[in-house]
Amino acid sequence: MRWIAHIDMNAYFASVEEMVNPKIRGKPILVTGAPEGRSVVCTASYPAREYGIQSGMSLKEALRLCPHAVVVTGNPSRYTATLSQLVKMLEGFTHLIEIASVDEVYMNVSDIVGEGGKERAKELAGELRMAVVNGLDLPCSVGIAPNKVMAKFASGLKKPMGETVIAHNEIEEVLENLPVDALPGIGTKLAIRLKGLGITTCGELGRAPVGLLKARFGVVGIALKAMGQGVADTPLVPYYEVPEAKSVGHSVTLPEDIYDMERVKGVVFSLSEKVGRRMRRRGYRGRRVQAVVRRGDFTSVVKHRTLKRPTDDAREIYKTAVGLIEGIGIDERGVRMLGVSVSLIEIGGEILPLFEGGMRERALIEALDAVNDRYGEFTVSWARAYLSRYRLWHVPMSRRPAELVGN
Amino acid sequence: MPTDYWNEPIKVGAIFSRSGINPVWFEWNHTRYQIRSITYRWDERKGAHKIFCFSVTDGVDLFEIAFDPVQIEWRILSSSCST
Repeated sequence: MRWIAHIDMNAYFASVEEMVNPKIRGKPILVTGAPEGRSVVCTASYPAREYGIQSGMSLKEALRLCPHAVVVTGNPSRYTATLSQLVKMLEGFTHLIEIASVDEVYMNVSDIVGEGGKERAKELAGELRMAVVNGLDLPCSVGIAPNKVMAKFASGLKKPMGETVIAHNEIEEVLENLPVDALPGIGTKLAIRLKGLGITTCGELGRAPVGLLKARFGVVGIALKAMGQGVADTPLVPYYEVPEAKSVGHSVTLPEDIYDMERVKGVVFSLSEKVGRRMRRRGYRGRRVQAVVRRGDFTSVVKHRTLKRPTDDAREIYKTAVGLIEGIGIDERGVRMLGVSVSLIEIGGEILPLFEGGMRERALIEALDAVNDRYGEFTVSWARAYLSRYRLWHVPMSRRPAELVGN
Repeated sequence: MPTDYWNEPIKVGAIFSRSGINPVWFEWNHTRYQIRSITYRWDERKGAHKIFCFSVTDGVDLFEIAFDPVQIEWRILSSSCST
């Protein structure tokens, strides 16, 4: 019998920052992005949530709700490093650990629960939670259930510091009257569309004709019916078997809206360089370049172009992305966010330049990569990346990840 | 307690043992700070090697310092001072 555990770190970033600075423990804490310019709340501690503050809220609004909140600039390296410590510790239980996000992991605990059933699963939930508390001094919630969807749902039932087990024979009862959007993966918009079909609870969703759901939602309809029944056979992919990416992209919300194409091009170059570098590191090449522009009024435009030959070259990605953005145009609404991504990924083989000049450029790209592999990201790069007014990379031994430089 | 960001070399007295690196004091801007406790430790990647980072307090203020084992240098990254 399959048992999956979901461990959800409670108010993770804020909890880590409380460890770093014990003086702020128990206070309303807001972990945000860069301190300058516009910033949003990445994580609010539980005392801060009592003021109605939620992740994604603007810092300005959050401080209006709680003027005495402690604001901490987030440090992604710290959270990633702590996640590594968490995984290392949990490997004492099993190696079958999937990292779902920076603050969530799944574990296949079927062998540990064995024939012990729900009682053993309940004991194990407690053991896992206390292992995290004792090992890292961080709060978490644990859910154990027959599959990933139900395990994640279970861990969300008691936050913070909770343990919930849902046995196989309890799923139907748990889901019968549960609103559909209580399930992970079903958001507000999807719930509204399901309501249009007369489906508001998971029980109704599980009993809905598959033909009706397929007609409305396509192949996703089949998965939705299964979710309504609490059936989800998505495999647990251990972190050491990372699946290949379908696309590689980077985006940035700018500290201030920008209104001229030259500044947009500077940002796009930096994004293209980051995308190219990541692709080359993983041996990827891609044929479809996509550009996203979010304007100052929060409307977004997405355009893409498919290239004749796959690429991993930042300059080619940049040229294509800029062409797309010039097609979108910049107007009086300004640009708030920019994104560049490459998809239709191919793996393996090598790029064979057609001409000698192309071979020299390829050799230069490989030399740049070798230096950056050795000494750190963007130790050397194209001049354009440094002339860009916005530096988008994390400078080693510096704490200003997105920094307005120059002028 | 506002946080100021730095990237300056400092002098550090530390104990290196099998269990890890433990900074004991550091000197910055002509002031010696005795480290009362290391509140957090983590590492970051710099190219092919790791930088070892520490959040430390002298009992009053909080500092982030980091050790680069390739350059063999310590740097102060940030300070959060009460005054």
